[in-house]
Amino acid sequence: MEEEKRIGVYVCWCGTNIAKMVDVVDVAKEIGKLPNVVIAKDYKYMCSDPGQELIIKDIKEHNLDRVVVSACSPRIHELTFRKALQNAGLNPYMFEMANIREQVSWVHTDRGEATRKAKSLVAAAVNRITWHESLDKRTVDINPATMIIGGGIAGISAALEIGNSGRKIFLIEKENKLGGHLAGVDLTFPYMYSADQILKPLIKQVTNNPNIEVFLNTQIDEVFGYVGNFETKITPGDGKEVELKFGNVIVASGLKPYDPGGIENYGYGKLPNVITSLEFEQMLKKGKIVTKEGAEPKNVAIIHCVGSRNKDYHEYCSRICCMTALKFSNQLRSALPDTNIFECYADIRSFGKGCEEFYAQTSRKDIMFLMFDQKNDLPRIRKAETMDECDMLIEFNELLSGEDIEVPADMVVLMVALEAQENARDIAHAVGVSMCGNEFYIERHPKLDPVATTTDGVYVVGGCQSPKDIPDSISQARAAAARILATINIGQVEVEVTTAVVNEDICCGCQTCVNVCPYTAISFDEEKGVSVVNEVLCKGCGTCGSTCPTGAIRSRHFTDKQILSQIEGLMSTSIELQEV
Amino acid sequence: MKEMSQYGMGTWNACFHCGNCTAVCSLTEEGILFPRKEIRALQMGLEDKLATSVEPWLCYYCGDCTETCPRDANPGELMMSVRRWLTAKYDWTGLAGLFYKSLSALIIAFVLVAIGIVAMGFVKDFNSEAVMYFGHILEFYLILTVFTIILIPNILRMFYFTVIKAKVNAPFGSYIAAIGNLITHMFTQVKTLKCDKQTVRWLEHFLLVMGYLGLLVITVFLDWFGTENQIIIYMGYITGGLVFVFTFLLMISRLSKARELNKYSQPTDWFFIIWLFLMGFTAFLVRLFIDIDLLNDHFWIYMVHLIVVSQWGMLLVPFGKWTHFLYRSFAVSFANLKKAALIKKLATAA
Repeated sequence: MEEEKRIGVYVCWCGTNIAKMVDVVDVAKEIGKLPNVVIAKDYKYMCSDPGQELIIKDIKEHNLDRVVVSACSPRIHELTFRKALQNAGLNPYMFEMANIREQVSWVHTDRGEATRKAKSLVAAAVNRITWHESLDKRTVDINPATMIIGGGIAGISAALEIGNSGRKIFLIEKENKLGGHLAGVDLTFPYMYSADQILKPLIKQVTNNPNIEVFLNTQIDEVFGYVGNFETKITPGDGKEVELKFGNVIVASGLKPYDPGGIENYGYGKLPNVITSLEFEQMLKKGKIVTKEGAEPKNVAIIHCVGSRNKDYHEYCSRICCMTALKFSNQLRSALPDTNIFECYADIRSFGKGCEEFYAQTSRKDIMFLMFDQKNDLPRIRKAETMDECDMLIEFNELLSGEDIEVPADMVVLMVALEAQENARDIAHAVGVSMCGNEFYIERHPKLDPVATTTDGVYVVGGCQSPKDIPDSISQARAAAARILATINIGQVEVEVTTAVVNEDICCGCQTCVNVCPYTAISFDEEKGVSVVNEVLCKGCGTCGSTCPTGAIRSRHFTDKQILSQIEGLMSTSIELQEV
Repeated sequence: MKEMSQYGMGTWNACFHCGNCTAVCSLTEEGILFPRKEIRALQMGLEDKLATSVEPWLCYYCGDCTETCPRDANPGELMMSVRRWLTAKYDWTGLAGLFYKSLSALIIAFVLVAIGIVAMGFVKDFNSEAVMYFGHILEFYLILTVFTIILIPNILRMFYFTVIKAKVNAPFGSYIAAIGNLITHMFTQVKTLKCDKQTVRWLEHFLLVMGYLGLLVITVFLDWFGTENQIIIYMGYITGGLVFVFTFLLMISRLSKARELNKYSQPTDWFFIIWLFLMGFTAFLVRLFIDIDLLNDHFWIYMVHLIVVSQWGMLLVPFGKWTHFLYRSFAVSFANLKKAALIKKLATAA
């Protein structure tokens, strides 16, 4: 030991959450015997105001320089306690948390064993904190411009929200006009507002807003930089290269309809009167529902879940097709009062405001709802014989009656699934967001942080994150806008300080770290022949540090010494703990 | 489906098959499922399936299903409508269907019968003895004719639909047992008691049936209007009274709509109750007028009674709601055959 460390340890009961399975009093007593531990206490709720004041008081009275709290997950309260340390005049990084709730009391059933494990975890934290160092916060300035990728309803909404507040927007659209899929929609469920009446005024506002610069026929290749200071080069339709600088990115690149040609049962592409929901939407928009032969269909069948909720295609629910199908039935019933309408469905999912009511109203409009087995027995469509007096026959076992039936149809509308854009991977790579298995973008936290991503300054909204209806897309867009305006308002953003640093004296210039960094935060300095970490981009994941063959890269707050002593603390039983 | 809406309310489209109705029903059981199954057959237009099902007759319309329905699809009233449709389906003459669907046809038939009776009275010079003699004979033959020509063939048709066409393969012994519960159910309707909170309703119905059957026997077979036997005369007053008191109560509850089953009334329901009431009431008055020597001066009261009885016997009994008396009782038997067949089938399978 070079110098004396003065550690305070606090064991939380979390009411009964921890205390019922862990003998917290015993843990505090045993840990109190460890070297460098000046004080060890147990308390009912450490995160409460009196709990935090207890720590602050002890730091001052006992001259503590490090604090260990053993309570819940650091994801929940690490920041709370760091702030308490700061209030007491300590560096917030002189703090360590041992999780004895999620990792102990909630998952174990033997009180003795659980208490032993809690002691080990706290001992590990005590061992680790001995080697903690003070780290200083760093901030960077924010460029107040924002780039939005995608000019659909989500991108437009975000652009207006930020643009109207007087901030610059670069709105990038790959097609030759704004509006996205909504531009192809006739009426919207469940209140039957016209999509044009929703969309057109918004597009007008975008084009009239001097703060919003729209680039049509434009794709994004690569985005450089970090939160507050991004830059990219784009080549709009006119072929002239433009360089853009911005502080935040909103990805609103949307999704695309599934191509049902891959489902043999439905004969899409072979039977001319089998059409997709988008094609039918076009018919509605034109105001003319006719078969390929130009006749008014006497029987229209709508098949749900085409490409959704089936392990052979997409396993997820595409979320808007049920309501769109019900909307189709309503519009069909108004346009063709005598036509037989068949809704062939797997389950009707009519969640959301006004939607269940819409379903109930629709079901009273003389529409036949027929249920099929989406998992194992998809309907089969075949060309009908002349005597059948219809164009096609749809054959399946109807689940609610148990009967094998044949549904006559002159037109079949396939409610196709919604899937990620073809270039979803390229955009993800360009801006540094992650994708889940089905290529939709992953948000930072599915519940607590639904529009941010793990890359600071990059937000995902609307259909590119998962299939969504209009209100949900707009809500996300405006949420991202609010987040961005907040950072612009502060003008600066705090960046992670637990980053990697290169010891230039030891670095051999092998560039292994450059290749493994998932955040492209490491570059190579040709002149000096060493790697250089861009500390703004670095997330402190530690991949470089563990790959570096010479040990030249050191991850702040996750140094080898800190980790190894933590492991030692974990492996030794708390009572026989040896000094490191 | 469109046809069915002429027999009652057309709200079953609203059903999305949650199954609450079947779950809450006290009478439905394994193999004999209702009302969801019937609603599905109806929505899909599976006419054969509906025509061969005996289940609608097993429902006594307690209204629990309608109260539980989250979609206000009114399954209870649907079962009632299906029973009307089945009544028409079983009737080989087609008149039952006509009268259910067309109120004007029913009224014309009523008027024709009334004219016939008045004409007969005119022919006989409104001589009280001659007319009453004729009336008594008419009642007697009417019962005989309606049974042999209409009701028995219709019951056979019901048997054909629900047992033969439905391919119910019941063991022979169960047929004998079925006759036993036929008699029980025809005169007691005890199955109603299996429904929740239906004891009062059952008692009302039971007393009304007893009153009606009693009045029938006393007037037709014991010649209430001609007899001197004091016991028969008093029995007649009691039974006639029962009929009009309880029909009066039924009318009040239909009007107040307090019970689920009374919320919706088809015109034929009203005809049935009002005519039953009038029959009891006029019979009561006729005998009263005889006893206080007013009948000769007020012979019109007998004419009214005879018109009511003839309309009842010629129209409402063979083609209307009255038939539920038979169909329900037979349905219990046929359902037992179905259950026996199911048990046999399961046994063979095992």
